[in-house]
Amino acid sequence: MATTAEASNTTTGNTETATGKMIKIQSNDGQIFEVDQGVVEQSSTIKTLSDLMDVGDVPIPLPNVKASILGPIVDFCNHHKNDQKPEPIDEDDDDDPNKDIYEPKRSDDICEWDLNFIKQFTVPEGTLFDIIMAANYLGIKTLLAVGCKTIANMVRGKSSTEVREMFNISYDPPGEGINAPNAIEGQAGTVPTTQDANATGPSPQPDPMNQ
Amino acid sequence: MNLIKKCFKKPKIKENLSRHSPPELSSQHSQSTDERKNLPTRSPPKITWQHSWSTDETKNGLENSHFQIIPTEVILHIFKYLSVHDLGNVSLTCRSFKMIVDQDEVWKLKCNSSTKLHSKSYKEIYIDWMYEKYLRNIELEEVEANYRKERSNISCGMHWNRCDYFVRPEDKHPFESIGGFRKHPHESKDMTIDLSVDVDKTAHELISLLKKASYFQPQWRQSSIIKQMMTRYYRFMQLKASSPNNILLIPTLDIEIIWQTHLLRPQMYRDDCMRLFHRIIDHSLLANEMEQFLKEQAFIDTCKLYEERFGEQYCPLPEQNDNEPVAAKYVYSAFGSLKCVIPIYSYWDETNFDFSSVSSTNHDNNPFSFTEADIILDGNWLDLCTKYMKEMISTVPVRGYYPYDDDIDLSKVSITRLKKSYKRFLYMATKYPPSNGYSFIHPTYAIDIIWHSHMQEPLKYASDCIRLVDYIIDHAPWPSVDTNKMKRSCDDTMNASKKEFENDMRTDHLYNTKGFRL
Repeated sequence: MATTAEASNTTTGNTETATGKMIKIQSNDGQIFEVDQGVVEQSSTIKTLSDLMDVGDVPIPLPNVKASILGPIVDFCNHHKNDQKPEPIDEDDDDDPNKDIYEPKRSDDICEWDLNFIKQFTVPEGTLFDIIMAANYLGIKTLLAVGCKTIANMVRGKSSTEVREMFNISYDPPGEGINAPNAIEGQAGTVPTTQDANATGPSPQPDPMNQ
Repeated sequence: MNLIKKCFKKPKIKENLSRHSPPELSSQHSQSTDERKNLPTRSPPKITWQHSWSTDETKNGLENSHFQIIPTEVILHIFKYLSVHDLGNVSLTCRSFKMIVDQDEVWKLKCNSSTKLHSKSYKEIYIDWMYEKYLRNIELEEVEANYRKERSNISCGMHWNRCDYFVRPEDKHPFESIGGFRKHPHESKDMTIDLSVDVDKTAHELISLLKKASYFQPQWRQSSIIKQMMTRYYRFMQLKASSPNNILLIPTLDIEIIWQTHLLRPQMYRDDCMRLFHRIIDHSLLANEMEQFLKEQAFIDTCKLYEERFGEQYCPLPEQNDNEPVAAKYVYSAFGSLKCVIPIYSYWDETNFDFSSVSSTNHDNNPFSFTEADIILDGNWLDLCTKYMKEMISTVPVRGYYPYDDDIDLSKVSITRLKKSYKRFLYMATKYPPSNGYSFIHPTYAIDIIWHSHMQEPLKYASDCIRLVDYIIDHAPWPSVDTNKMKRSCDDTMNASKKEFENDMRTDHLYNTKGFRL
C-alpha cells in the first residue's frame, strides 16, 4: 500500500504521451509524485495551484497530505482518469431538476474497484478519515464521495451505542433545561400523554457537564 | 430524547392496522372499531428546537474520535446519505452530531416540498408532514371501520336508498355551450365528447385487475406486506423515472395495486411525481400489440434492472416451457367462454408472485402522500361497487337485461350507458366547479367505473380534463367522516343533478337516452 514515488512514476509514465505535460506534487513528508493532466483535472486544488503557479518543474507542495495517503490517491486518480465525465458529484446540486430529490444520495453504488480501494483504509487506525480529509483538501469529489459513502454504509442500521463504539465517540448526554425537554418529562413523571414520552431515548440522567 | 424515531416509526399505526386488518376480513371489524376507539390518539410531536450548546459543551463527544478532524461540511456530506432512521440513531450519539443532523441541508432532502417556511426548519416541516400522514391514516382507518361496519354504499360520500321507478324525461333543457361541451348531454344517445383514453377496454381491465387484487387480498392486507409493496412501488417508479419513456417496464401485481391507489388521487399523483421524479410517470392498463409481444422479455429485463439496482429479487422469473404456450391465468367473464391467450393488460401476474414481507430493508419510509389506510380502503371499492350496481338494478325494472350473477355488467351497451353517465358527471363538474359553493360533485359507483378507468392514464386524463372541464378534476376517494356535512354535500349534488337532468343520479346509468333501445 505504501506506494513509492517510483511506482507511481511508472504508472503515470504509461500515459504520459497521451496526456502531455507532467506535474510534480510533493507530500508534506517530502515525497514527490509526478502526475499527468488526467490526474490534475480531478483535483480542483492541484488544478488551481498548477494554473496559478505555472510551476514548470518545481513540485507543488501539499502541506496537508502525507505520502502514505497521497500515493494511493494518485493511484485512485490514475484509475479514474479515463472515466467519462459524468454529472459532477457536487453537494450543491440538490436543486438540479434532473436529480431525484428525494433520494439523491445513494451510497450503495460504489463500484468494485473503489470498494477494494477504500477497504484498505477501513481500519481502526482511521486512515479512512485521512483519505477523506485529503480528498476534501485536494478537491477530489469522486474520492470524497466514495469515502463519505463508506462511512455512511458503516453507520447504516447501527444503534447509537454501536456508532459511538465504532468511532470512539464519548457519550455526552443532552443535559437539562431547554436542551432536554423529553428527558425532563420522563424524569419528573409528568403525564406521559403519549407513548412518545415513554419511547424517549437515553435515560434522563442529570448531566454533570451541564450545570 | 428520541426525537426523530418517535416521529416516523409510528408504532401505533402498525398496531392498529394489524388489529383491524387480519387476513380474514369479514369477522371482527365492528369489534375492532370499538376497541380502537379506546386507544389514545397520538398527540402532535413536542419538540424543543433550541439546542443552545456552546462549542465547549459539544466538543467532548468527538474528542477521541477520528471525526474530530473532519470539518462539519464533510460530516454533513456523510449524513446526507443516511435514512431518517439512521439519522435518528446518529443524532443520539453525541451533541455535535445532533446539531449537525438537525441542519436544513439534511432534512431538505427528506421533505415533500422544497418550499421552505421562514419560521420552520426543514426537520420541523418533515416531522409535521409525517404527523399529518399519521393523522390522515387514523382518519382513514375510521372511515374504513365505518364502511365495513355499515357496508354502506358510498362513493365519495354518495348515499343512496332504494329508489322508486323513474322515467327519464324527454323535454329539452336550456343549454349554453360550456367548457368542451357543445351539446347538452341529453341531446344524443352517444358520447359527443372524446376521451383520449379507451375507457371501454380499460374498464374491463380495471375490473379484472381489481378482482385479482381482491382475490389475493387475504395475503396482502397486512401492514408489513403493504409497507413492502409501497417500497417496491417506489423502487419501480425510480426505475421508470430513470429510464427513457420508450423503455417498457412491467410492474408486478403488488406494485400495480399500489399504483392504482396513487393514480386514483390525480392531484397527489402529480405532486408526488413532480417532487420525487420531476416528471409525471405515465400509466396505462392496456398494452398495445407491440407491447404484448415484448411483455415477457420486458418483464425479464425489469427483473434484472431491479435486482441490479436494489439487490433484491423482483419476482421469480417465469418458468421456461418451450412446448406449451403460456396460457392466460384469467378468463374474462365478459367474453364468455372466449379465452384470451395474450393478455392485454400491462402488468405481470403469470408467475405466482409471493406477497411476502421478508426483506432486509427498512420499509418505514413511505415517500408518497398516501398512507397504508388508503390502500386498504381502495381494496373495498370493487365490493361496494358491485353491491351498488346490483341494488340499483333491482330497483329499476329493466326488461331484457340479464346481469351476470356476481359481476358488474360490462357489456357493450352497459358501457355505453355508463359512459353517458360519466359524461353527465363531467358536464356537472364543468358547470359547478368546486369553487361554486359545491365542495365537490359526488359521483355514484356507476360513474366511478368510467372515471377510474379514465384516470388510468394520468397524462391523457389531465389533458382531457383541461380540454373538457377547464380544470383537472381531483378525486378524493374516501372523504372525511363528518357525515352531516357529507350528506348535505351529497344532497346538493343530487339536487343539482336533478335540476340539470331531471333524473335520479343514482340510477342514471340504467337509462338509455331517448331514442336508444336495447
